[in-house]
Amino acid sequence: MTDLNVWFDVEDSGEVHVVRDVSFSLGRGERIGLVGESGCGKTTALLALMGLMPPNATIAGRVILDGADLLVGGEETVAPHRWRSVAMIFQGAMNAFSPVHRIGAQIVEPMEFHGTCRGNAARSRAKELLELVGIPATRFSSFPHELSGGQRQRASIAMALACEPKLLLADEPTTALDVIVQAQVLDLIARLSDQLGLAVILVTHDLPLVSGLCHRTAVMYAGQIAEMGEAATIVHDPRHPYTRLLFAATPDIDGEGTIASIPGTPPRLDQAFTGCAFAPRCDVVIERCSSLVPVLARSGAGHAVRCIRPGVRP
Amino acid sequence: MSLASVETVAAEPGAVIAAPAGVVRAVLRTWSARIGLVILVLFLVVAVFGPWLAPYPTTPTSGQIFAPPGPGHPLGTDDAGVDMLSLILKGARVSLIVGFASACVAMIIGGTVGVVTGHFGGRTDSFLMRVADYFLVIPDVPLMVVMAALFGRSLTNIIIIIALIYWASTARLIRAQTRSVRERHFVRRAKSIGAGHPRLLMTHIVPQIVPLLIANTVLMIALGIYAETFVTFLGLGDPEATSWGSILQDAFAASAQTNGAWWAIVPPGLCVTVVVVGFTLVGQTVEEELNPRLRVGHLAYRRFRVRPLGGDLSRD
Amino acid sequence: MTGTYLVKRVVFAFITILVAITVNFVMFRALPGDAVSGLRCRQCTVEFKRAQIHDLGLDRPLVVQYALYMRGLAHGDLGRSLRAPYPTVTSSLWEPIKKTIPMITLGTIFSIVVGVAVGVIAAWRRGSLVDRGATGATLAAYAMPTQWLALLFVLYVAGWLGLPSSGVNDPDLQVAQVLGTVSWPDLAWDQFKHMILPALAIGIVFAGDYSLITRSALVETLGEDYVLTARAKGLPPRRIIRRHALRNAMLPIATLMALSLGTIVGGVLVVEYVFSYPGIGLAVVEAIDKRDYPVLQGAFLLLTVGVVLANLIADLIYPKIDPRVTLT
Repeated sequence: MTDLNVWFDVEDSGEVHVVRDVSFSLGRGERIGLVGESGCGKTTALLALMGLMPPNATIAGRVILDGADLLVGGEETVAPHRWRSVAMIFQGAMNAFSPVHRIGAQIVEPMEFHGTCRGNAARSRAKELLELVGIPATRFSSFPHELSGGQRQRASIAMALACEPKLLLADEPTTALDVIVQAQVLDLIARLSDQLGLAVILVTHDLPLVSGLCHRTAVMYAGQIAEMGEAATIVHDPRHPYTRLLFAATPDIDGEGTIASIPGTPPRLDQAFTGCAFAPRCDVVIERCSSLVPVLARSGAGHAVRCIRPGVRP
Repeated sequence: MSLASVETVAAEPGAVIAAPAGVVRAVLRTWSARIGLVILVLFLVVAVFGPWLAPYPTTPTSGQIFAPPGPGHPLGTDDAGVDMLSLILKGARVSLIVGFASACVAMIIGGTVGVVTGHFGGRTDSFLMRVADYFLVIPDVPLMVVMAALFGRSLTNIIIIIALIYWASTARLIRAQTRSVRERHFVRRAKSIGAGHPRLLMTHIVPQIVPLLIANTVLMIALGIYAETFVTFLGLGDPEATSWGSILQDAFAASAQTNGAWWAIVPPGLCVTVVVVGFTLVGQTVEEELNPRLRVGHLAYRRFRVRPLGGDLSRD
Repeated sequence: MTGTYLVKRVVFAFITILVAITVNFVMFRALPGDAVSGLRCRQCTVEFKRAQIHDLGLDRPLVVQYALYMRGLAHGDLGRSLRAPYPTVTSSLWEPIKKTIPMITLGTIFSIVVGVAVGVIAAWRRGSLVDRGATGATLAAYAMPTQWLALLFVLYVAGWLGLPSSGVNDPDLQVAQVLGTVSWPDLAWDQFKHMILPALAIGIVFAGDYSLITRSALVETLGEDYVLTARAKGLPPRRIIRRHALRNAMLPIATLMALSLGTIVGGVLVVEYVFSYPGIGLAVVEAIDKRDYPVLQGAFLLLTVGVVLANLIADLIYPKIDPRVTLT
């Protein structure tokens, strides 16, 4: 059983509190979507999970994998787990590959370095992985610029799987791709997750993606988790005003309904919040919202909301 | 020395043109630029007021030949007995003038060519860029030397020659910037409204070019001062003019280095080095401000910090 | 490497050389006055000069002169020196070139190795004291007039290290060489001793230049996504810098280095002058001094061709460094 428990209490980049109290746990083969606007801290949370922070960052929190806290010793303790336990694919995989090295070599590299396998065994495994993601093995010797965007993204998935990680972090893997390719890539991720028991954290700002792919969803706002629960529940019964508005702002595939955008802008992160972070933009806000700091509280089975008026509609 | 070519070819034309106020602020803010500015102001003052500040006039000799630094002559004297400090102060003027003038001419030539080729394109573009490529490949000092040897030794000649050698990199840079500006929306819009070329150029394109041109010119000034020392050292400078380069050349001709007369050698070269550094610092900062390549590095020597969790954190 | 790229670069080099030859020719013929009238020598009476002019064909129409010149070039004939005993330009430049090349190679290798190393360190420790110190030092090195550094060497370093400061051979050794009483390693060592200061003078200034280039290119590369990926893969920083960042930074670094190839010549001229090192630089300076225009013209041509060829070689190396270059 892979039990991942994540706690991010504080993270300062020059005294800006970018991620606050983010925690959730994942089991084997479980997929969770992390949703939110740009700048809400979701990418940072992912990077912090792997300890990929710049020197001006401070992390507090625990990342527990199979009982061991990865972050307790900072870089020292988390580094050995990179790629072996946790791997990542990035937005715009165009640049995830070094342009001067061949794809195959880049997939083999972590394998040989971490000792997963070497030499010819590594090369054939790399080719297998390429096939697994739907890229012909002949592309092993190609350079990244010789592949299309979608192929590169899939290749980066193959690369991520090189050392048989237990957890895959996907940071907006589909943003730069066209719709058909998007679907292919997401489908691939779901299949691999089911096949290999791979846990996935999918970060995106695109809501509809999540419901198709993930078991659970967490909605982030201003560095905090606003709402978390089963994906289906969140879609049909969003309890947090932000989540509700987020769905309303997303065009329906039938083209029905009006498209509303959420007025205002996300709050600055260099101060502590007085009251709820979403209050200035909330449509069911009351007096108490600006003075009381809401905590993440249970609201139904497997559902948590950070709001003092969950489920209330205007 | 590839000063201008290093900086200007490496910089990609930026999409953001910072307002002049922003640039000035940035210059004042950055440490390196501040130092550069101090240096420049200092030498500018020296250049303007030099001859009056000098303790001795330089024509009648005022001391012994190659006298070491001592009372009355803080920097010693040169091979003719002229006070070194006075020489340096006087030389500042010529060196800086050559630098400024050649940079201005290069800026005019390079800027014009750059804008014209970038905006109009076509056959003029290809032709002029071939010419520019040629000037970029040809080794600079030999060409300068040959031209100076052929066309005579005068200050004006040197200024023109230096400008002729170095206009090409400016042209390349400005051309790239012009082309990127051309593609941008507001220019397209203006064009579709029917703005004619002159209007387009003046009101829209040129303002976007000028800041970069100025940044480039600052670096060019350094290059001009530097280049002048080479031409002069090889005996092709204006025999009437005193510049830091000529002071160095005189010292060499009189074998100051084998006579241990360090005071005749160190000051002029030091001045050139310091001034070039000053201009480079300021120029680089201005260029960075205009072409922000502010990248977060993904790899660094120091590590991120870990803070222990505090307080009671019971979650479900 | 595609054929088109190769062909294009070679053609460009060829055209540049042709243009260089023509411009060379035009410049020297377009003198105010002519090549001979500026001569100063004991026997240079008016009649002598007139005879010289006729001899050198300077009284023929320009176009004819050009044709003759080109024909001569094709045969490796660069004309004759104007100084007694009027050797061919080619022969008077051949020896100097042989002396310059090892010296320049030494200096260039030094500057590349040191420059890149310092640049990498500065980029890796970006923002730290090490970086600022290194950047300051390299900036100063790069801003120094090469001749100034050379003079400083003569002033301070030569005596202190016991290194010679002029010429290329110890005169005693030269005699011994003729007599056949000196061994080859000793000769080589002596030559090396004479080469090292001039090479270092050039090398340090260019190390400064290359260091700045490397640092800036590397800082840029370290901000690329694939570096983050490499770090995410758990690779150690050293390896990331060496294999990923530096390899990718190589193209801009090499491009800029190639651009500065021409300026090395300036350094050579001036340094050989200071050290009286009998290379092509000194030959040029002497030709200027004596108004020996054919030699000057020939030297300029050779230098230009040399730089163009060096640039061509650099162009041909690019595709090996960066596979994307074949597409351009």
